[in-house]
Amino acid sequence: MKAVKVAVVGAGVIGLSTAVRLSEALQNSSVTILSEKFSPDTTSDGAAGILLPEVFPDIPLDRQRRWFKETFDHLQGIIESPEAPEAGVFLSSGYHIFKEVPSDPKPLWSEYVFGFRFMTDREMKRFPNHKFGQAFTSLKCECPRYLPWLEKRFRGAGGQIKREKVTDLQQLTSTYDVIVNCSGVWAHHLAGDKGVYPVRGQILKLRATWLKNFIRDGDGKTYIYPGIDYVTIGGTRQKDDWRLELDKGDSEDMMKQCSQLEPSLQKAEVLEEWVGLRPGRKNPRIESEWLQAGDRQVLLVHNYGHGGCGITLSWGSALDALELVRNGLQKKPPIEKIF
Amino acid sequence: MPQYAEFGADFSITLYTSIVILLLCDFCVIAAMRVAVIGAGVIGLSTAQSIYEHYHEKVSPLTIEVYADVFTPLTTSDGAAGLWQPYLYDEGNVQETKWNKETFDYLLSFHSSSESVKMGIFLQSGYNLCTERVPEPSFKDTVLGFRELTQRELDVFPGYSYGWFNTALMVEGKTYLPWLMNWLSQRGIKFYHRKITSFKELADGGADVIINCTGVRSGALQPDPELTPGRGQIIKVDAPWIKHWILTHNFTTGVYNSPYIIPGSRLVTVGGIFQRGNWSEQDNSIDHKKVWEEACELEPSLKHAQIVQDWTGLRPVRSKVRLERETMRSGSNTFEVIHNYGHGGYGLTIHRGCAEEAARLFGEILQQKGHQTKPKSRL
Repeated sequence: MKAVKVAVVGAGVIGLSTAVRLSEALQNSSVTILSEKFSPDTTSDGAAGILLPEVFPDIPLDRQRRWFKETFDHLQGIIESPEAPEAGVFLSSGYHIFKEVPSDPKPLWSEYVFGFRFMTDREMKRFPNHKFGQAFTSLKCECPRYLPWLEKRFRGAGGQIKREKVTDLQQLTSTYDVIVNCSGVWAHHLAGDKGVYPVRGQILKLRATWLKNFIRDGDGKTYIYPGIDYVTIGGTRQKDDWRLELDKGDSEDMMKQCSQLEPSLQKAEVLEEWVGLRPGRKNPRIESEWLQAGDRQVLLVHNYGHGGCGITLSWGSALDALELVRNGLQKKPPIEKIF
Repeated sequence: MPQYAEFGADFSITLYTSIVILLLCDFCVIAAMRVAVIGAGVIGLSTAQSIYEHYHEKVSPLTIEVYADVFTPLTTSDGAAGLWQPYLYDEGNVQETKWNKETFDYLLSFHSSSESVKMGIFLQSGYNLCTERVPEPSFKDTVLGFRELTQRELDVFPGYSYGWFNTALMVEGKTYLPWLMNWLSQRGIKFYHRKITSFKELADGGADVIINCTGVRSGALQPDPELTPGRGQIIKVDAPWIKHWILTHNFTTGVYNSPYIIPGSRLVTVGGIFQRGNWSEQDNSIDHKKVWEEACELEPSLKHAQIVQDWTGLRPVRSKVRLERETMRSGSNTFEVIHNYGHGGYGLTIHRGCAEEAARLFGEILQQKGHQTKPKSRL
């Protein structure tokens, strides 16, 4: 039987994770990534990368838990190995602080991170404008290292890469039997999905090597994440904002807000400013459909719309996408032309 | 005025404070005093600071001079990783536990200030790992967020079945000592690069009070059978993905003879050597191998990290810190010595508490000498 030809559109953390899982698990298939951008130019590359899910309204909680746990366990396996620095994965501890006590002080992910607890009074003294805090240890996964590491693994499993911009999924049906759409915010155009919208995020990369713990305000707009090569501070959450240009006002605001939480940031050197568009959506879209291509049926699996949780859910949602591909291939294999 | 902790921790009115109040009542200005501090590690410099802070207005003029054979970055304090953490158990030495806590609170009070980076102070969390369940350490209420490790956390460190997590302070000698020296020289304290061979030498030169902060080499000035070197060898590694300190404890091999990994502001300090009685300051390749192999087993991510340099230092180990006065004679003159040495592997951890205590002893000396130019009239 002919090998099944799979195309993965997109080379961010979702595209690469999905491509790796497909290339390592599928028998008798070839997997090709098609993308305009690769690391370090993807949305994933700018993300601080701390593993922390948000809760989506319409997806069963068990499935969401599974996405997170699957990713967490996979990355935890990496931190305990000598590959950790190459993959850009490490343990990161810190605080979530809230100006008002949140409605769910102990969120569903609290059991999956390490050592989750409420902050003590002495710890809260550092933050006089905040009333409540959570302390825990999670994993940080930095895509400028993780994506090349995934790519190496993908090529090792026989994967192919084509640097090209896909503007029409239908066009791919003549060459491929399965298409996996991991196009992030651009699924808005590519899949005609008006339900996916940009949530613009601007960040600053600072040099502040003395900072070791993260601090994140409950509003999600003020955060400090110490990384391997720089500290990421942010940020913004501007819905429906497609601007990829830097906004000076945003940078000034985040520097001011973050310095209030961590005064020593005033001594930090600004290395770079960066903007990315989170693929916002009410719920991530991980589902399959069929495209008609002449007398053939091509399986189209969607895996996009993870908002600000792409890295956090990457390995788990890639598994779901793999299952959808497997199920699709079993139910309706591509019909061979017998002439 | 010295900075006391703002962080709502215990503010203890010590005996020292009552003496200061007494001094203020009974004396106005005290005549010239010359203080010679021997040693420019963290102990010497911080003691000079405390004495200046408490007495520069009460003693006029107060001349403080620091004599040392080595200055930063070549002192023992410079090589230390800089983690604030006492030994797990003080064995009843509550005085030292108090001084440790004072130091923590003092450093914490600077943490949110604009000086923190220049002082080399920052917070860092980490793990204390044991192979068996043990009693809680002396510092559990001093550090922040102290708790037991969960089983899932212990699973990340195979071979260790019990331990704690907390947030502590780092104070890096290589930054803190220059900051102290700058602080002191701005206030007129002078530094002399000279090896002092006897207390008498300084007394004859005019010193009224000598502060002996000579660390592991104190025995050269006055034999002390309780003082012994605790040789340490460390490896500095470039591993910026490590954001926690990891200390292991092996009660058979003893303190610091079990691997530890302590990230600093630039490099990670990897260690696990504590050799009592070994005076060698040379790096030893067998020790290097032991430290490296054990650290890589503890933290596999180190395996491909770049090693930058080795360093060897001699901790000034003693059964307990020697912090006391001694009156000595040189010919017909008497002079005072305040000993402040023997801080083992916790000099940075305890420095401020000891410096304040040394300053208190200095105050006692002032009171006893009864030097006064203009006594307050009492009607």
